[in-house]
Amino acid sequence: MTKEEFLKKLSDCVVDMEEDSVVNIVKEYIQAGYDPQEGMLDGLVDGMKRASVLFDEEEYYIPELLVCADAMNNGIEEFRKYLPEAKKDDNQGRIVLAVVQGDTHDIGKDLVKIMLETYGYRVVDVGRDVSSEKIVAAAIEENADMIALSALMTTTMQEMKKVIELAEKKGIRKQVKIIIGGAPVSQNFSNSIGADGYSSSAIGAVRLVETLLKTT
Amino acid sequence: MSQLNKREITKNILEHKGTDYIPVMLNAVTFSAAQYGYSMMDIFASPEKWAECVMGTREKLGFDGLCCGNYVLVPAMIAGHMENSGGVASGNGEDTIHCLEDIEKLKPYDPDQCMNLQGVLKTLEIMRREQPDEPAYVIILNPASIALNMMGGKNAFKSMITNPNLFITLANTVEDRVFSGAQKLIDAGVDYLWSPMPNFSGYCISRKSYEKCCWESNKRFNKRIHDAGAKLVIHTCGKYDDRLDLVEQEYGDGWHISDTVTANIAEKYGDKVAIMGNIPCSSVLMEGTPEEVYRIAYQDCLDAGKNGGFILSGDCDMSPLTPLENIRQVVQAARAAEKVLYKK
Repeated sequence: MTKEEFLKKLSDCVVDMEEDSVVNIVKEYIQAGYDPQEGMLDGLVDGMKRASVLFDEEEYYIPELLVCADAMNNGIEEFRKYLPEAKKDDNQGRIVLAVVQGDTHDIGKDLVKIMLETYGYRVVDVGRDVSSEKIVAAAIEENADMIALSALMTTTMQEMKKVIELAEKKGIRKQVKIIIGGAPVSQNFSNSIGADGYSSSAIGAVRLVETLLKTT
Repeated sequence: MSQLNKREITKNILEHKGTDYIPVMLNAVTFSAAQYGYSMMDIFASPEKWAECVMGTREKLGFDGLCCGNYVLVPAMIAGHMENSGGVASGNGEDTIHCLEDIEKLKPYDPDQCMNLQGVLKTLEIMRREQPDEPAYVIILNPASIALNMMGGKNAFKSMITNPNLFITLANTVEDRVFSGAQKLIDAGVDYLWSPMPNFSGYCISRKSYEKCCWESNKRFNKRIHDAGAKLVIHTCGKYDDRLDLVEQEYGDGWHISDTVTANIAEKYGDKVAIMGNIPCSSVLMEGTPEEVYRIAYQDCLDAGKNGGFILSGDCDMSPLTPLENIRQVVQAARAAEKVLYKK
């Protein structure tokens, strides 16, 4: 198989949710002598981007996207064995990701994480129902470029303002962008609490992150 | 208002008998707790506090209906002893079922030992005593929603593709347990059960997954509620337009709609189910001006209230940040619409 054929096959494995057979394709690709990073980015990640387009078009939904992500991650895990050490930590930016305190809905956050990692960002997922203190502490510890917050209930979205206020109090607000998302959240709300941006979708979050981190 | 009390009016609406009153029933438990300075933990732990803040807020702002509680903790009773993905005893039963063998480890369920259910029954008792004419409802998770919870959302969603039999088997297994508690609520005289399905909307799963993994269970469980003589309002939380023909067969007496056009739903289904909704809770109720709230609430009434089968509400849970004046405008809009619709 040519390299292009392999890359297409890797990409198809992700889109077709072939979470098991993708590993064998990776091994065959490596045995054929092709570059692992290229296989990751132009094969697997390409497949995830195709899957996210299908998600935007409402052909794929959360279950399909999660299984695609599993296929991609299984392949990446195999590729990482062949990557030079320096390449393993390459990233476009470091983002602390959390669902705010009182809220346990984390699927949206998980989708955003998948998308951000697909596009080369290092994501530190601190989980769901996370206090403002823990979120800001993680951002300091990880030397984060950004904090991304999720809330799925009108009753918890006010916690986002607390994170912003705490970030200011701790003196990191200027260095750390803060973006928000979730079903009840809006651009108006984002403006009112002083967030740097809002996105209504996972792929939109990637574009927002790209824009904000390019300007810093 | 007609000679009937509000409980009777609500019953008539859910039985499609028509009425000349538009109840305003807001999902306002968190809002009410905030009004009284209580946290959700405070009111979950105390039926007295729950009843106090919900009844007091309703009375102060003039809307209708009383939420008695959330009957949602069956997983804690039957799977709280089991380990979650993190390898620790879950306590709440979430993320504990990962294979068919795990289902065999579930404990039996005794509704009389379930503190969650007993708390809800106590709250209902208080509300009946203090505000006997107000319709009282309970939030209940159906077996498919329980299954998603017990598998952990991410694993449950994935299983809909990779192992649907696990999801379906779990929902089927918990059905009797959940219904035994529902029966207690029905026997205690709750006016309706309110069943939300946010995780099965078009924001989350395809129509195909809904039909394969949730629909049969929903139909069966809801029919049991129907056959027990109780009323059921299904909250189609999220995008449901592409699957309402399936929901139509799920024995709902009313649909609490969201993310849709009220007039379209009323036209297509208004002769089959009562309609509840549909003021956007976030962008209108919370962020809108009083005038905007009134206009949208009023229009919803005109769109869906023609045949007397409409309950005005937000499209989901009301934020604690909702301005009081906006709530008053919702009530005023209902009263004004009644004069036009029913020549009062």
